[in-house]
Amino acid sequence: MASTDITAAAAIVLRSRTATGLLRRAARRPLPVLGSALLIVLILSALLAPWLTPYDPFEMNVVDRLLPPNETYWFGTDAYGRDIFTRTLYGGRVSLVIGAAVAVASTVVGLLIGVIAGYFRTADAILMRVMDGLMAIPGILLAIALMSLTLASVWIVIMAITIPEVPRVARLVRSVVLSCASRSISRQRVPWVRGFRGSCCATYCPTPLRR
Amino acid sequence: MWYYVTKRILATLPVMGVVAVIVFLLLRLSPGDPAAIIAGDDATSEDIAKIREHLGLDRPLLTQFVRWLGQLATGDFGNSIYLERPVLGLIMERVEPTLALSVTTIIFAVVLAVPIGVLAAWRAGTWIDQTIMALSVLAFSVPVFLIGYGLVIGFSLTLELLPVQGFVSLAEDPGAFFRHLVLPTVALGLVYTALIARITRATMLETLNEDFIRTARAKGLGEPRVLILHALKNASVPIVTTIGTGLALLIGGVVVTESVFAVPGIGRLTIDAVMQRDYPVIQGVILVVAGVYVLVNLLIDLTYSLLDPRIRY
Amino acid sequence: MNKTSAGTEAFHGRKNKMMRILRVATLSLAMMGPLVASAQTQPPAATRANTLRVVVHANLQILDPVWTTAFISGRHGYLIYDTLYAMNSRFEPLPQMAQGHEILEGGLLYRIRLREGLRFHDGSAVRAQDVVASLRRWMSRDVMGQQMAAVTDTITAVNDQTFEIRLKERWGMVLDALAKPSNPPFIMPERIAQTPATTQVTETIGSGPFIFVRDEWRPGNRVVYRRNPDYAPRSEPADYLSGGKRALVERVEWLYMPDHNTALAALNAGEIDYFEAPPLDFINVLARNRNIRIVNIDAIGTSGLIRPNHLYPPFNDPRARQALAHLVRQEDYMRVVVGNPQLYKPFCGSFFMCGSANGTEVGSEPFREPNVERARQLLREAGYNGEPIVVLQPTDRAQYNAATMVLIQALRRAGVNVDVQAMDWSTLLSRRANRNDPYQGGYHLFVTTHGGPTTALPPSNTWFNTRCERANPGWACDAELDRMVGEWAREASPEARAPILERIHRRAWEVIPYVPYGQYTQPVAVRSNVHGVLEAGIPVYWNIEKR
Repeated sequence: MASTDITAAAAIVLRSRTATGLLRRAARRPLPVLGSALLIVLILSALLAPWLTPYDPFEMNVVDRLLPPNETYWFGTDAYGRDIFTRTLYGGRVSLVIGAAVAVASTVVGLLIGVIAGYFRTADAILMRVMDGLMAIPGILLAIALMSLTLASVWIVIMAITIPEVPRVARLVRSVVLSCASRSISRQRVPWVRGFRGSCCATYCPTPLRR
Repeated sequence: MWYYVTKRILATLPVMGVVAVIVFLLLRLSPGDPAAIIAGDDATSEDIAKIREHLGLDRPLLTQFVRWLGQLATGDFGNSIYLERPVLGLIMERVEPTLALSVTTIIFAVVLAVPIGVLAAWRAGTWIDQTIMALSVLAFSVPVFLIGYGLVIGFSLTLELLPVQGFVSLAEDPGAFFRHLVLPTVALGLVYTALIARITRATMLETLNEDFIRTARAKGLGEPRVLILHALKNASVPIVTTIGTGLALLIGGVVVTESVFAVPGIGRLTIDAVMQRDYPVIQGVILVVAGVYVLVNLLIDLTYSLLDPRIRY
Repeated sequence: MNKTSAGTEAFHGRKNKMMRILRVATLSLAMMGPLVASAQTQPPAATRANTLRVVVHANLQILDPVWTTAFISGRHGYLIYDTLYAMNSRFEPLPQMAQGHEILEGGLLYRIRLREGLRFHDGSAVRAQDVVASLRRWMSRDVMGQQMAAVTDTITAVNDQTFEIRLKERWGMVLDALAKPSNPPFIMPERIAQTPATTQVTETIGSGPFIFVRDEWRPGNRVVYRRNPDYAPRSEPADYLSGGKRALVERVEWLYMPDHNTALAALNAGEIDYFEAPPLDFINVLARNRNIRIVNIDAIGTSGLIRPNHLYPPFNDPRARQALAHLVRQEDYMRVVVGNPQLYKPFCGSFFMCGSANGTEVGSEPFREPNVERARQLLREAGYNGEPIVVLQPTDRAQYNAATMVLIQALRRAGVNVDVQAMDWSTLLSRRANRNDPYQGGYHLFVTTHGGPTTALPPSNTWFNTRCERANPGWACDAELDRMVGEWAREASPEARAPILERIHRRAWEVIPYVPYGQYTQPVAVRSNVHGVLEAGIPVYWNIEKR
């Protein structure tokens, strides 16, 4: 969803030859522009966190617990006396990294599995049954079990979220590939590589760019 | 087709087998020990060791696994370590609340989302489309518990129309059953509505650009007929997949909603068991849920061939 | 065949296929119906007016309150079982199921007589043989019971109404042990009490004021008790855990709600009557509501403690432990864990609960205010050189997590190198029992709590136990302190005990088995039509009525 917004925004930028052209195009499609702008603000605020706030996200000032937003603490403080605005900025780092990593990992792996399963019938039977099984394992169990490996906690979280997420992406991709692959263009006797890549493209090229 | 169905159903056995092995190993390799929890604060290492022996946790992994498989073969999922009650009974107690919540949520979501998605695709690029897309982002960004709390404050505490929490069995009191389900369904359903609406819009957009739609319109068919019978039907495969995935996720248990509304469902059972390392319960629940996923996915795959006859098995 | 009829045929073919699939689906769903229905038994309708609906703090899983130390199982025990003796508000053991006792042979023989007319829920009379079997089972499980077992020669039933405890040596704690408020020796029928102590008892037949309704038990959701019409309460008024246990409501329903906000909303809406453990930050909000009353049931309260690992450096050296104590400002911990100043004392320097009969604070004067310089000096003397100190942090227990975070910050501000190991409570329970080196699966510090009258008595304060390998995780080790506690236990009179207690307490602040970080209390919140909530240290449900 965000990816279609970003590509749409990129298309707007790429196709404008003048600045006014860009503004006009942007005005016609406000949503993707707004979405991308917000994302950029979020990323910047997370990157520049140490310069945007003087507080330490872990420092507890027990006297200042549970305060509402005021001049000193812009978002107020939590139950431990920590500044919530600071924690939002620093927490953005963790969330963005994990979110991006999980999205990329599950999309890449799920796309691969989904396309293979949709295109090759025998692979479909095996891969999809594995996916059914993986979906059933709760993420928190994975996270606890992964704790026994000495990895940094961020990697554990990424793995624990990605593993149950991959089957969902794979199923969705497979379903699209199944309907695309059955269309006349792929049923022609084309070399399997072209048909394969063709299915990939059909699934993932956003509509505006295809025209 | 029946050959395919039989083949799929037979394939569940190796799936469950693999899941069983994976879960068993995950649990035994996890840190945390039910014996230590049972023994309590004042226990010595000897106490803990005695409890481990009593639970059979000191035997080699393979022996434990084989014993468990043997129990499974007779349909016995074992007993909860803490409750000393059959795991299957515990799961069956949770089926009604979980199914009730899942079915009402998915119906709510589909009934709301599909028309909205079709509308957004039909009027793509207009303010209707933009508003629907913006609202859907809001719906799946706001955490479920926040929506839940807001609904409770509004409808339960302020307006006093609906109960705050709980679940009442349909057999016991149908009126209360529905009243208790309204808020959890809405809180949970909004997320799925957003997801399904977006997928509907995306696939409808693609389909509406196809040549055969232009032909149908040129033939003079009414717009509703074109939209539903021609476009939606052909776009429906990914939509049905999303609905199926959603239903599977719901049945697997939605812990946050169950906690916020105190619905005694499978999600809560799983989480509580995991946090306490109640091995038989965790193993039993995951196996049952895996079986349900296999079944739901099979039904979804069968509907593909109904909706898109080009997909054959 | 022309195209139209081929299309129609294909359409009908698909329609038939769809009908077939629908038929199969409906059939399978219908078959599931009876299966699901059989798992739900219909509870009888009960009136709201005489049902007390309680939100409990944990999920009741283990029904055997002797086998487990879980608080929730203990409270379940108090509903359906009864005890020989029980404590009053002055923490004196008074007869409950007992009629009275005689102490003979210079304190070596206790002869105890049972009250008349005591019955179990299955109708059978309570006999001395049941008591003996229950005591034996309890003595093999409970810590104080084990201490009693060590000094006991025999326990025998003289006849159906009387039994005798014969000691090997003088021990002044017999009645205190029988009246122990936490993990008490609940009396069960003989055949049930003969279950080995290593196995759970699954039958729930007791002689208490309520009866467990097993049919309506939904684990993880609801536990139901009904009033025992055949219970014969004592004639005295209820006082703490002693006196007459009159059940004034027909039903008690325990509901487990994992989300505190939901419980709060349910209490506000009147869907529940009694909130056992409202989060301490909510107390002021609840107090402002005219339909809700905050009741303080626990005058003594809970005491938090920081437990160092006595097996490995630096905390195997008492100087390092004293340094730790010098780094604690109790007010900081209490602010974060409790928040509301009405619920805690700014400083409690007692190992045996301030406000109790043994709540002396002697020896704690140097530690009233933090002294970072002294702490650093002591650590240097103990040989600490900047090595990482492994602190276990339980992320899923809010109060322990909060206290641990304050500890970590205090250590870091003092220049200690802290290695924080975050984990869930279950993992922590396993890890803290691990005697390995802190860097190989062990630890240096963790945080826990205890409280109530049990903590106020030196022999039953389990974290105070300094028996080295046989002590609680942390393995505090001091033979002298252990000897002094034994000496205290042998005396029976307060005059004899007082000087020993003072010596114990001074030594405790030198040896430091653990560092207390504050004492606080957890009030309950009830609807305003709920009356008779007893100050009994724990939630008990007799004496309560709804008007």
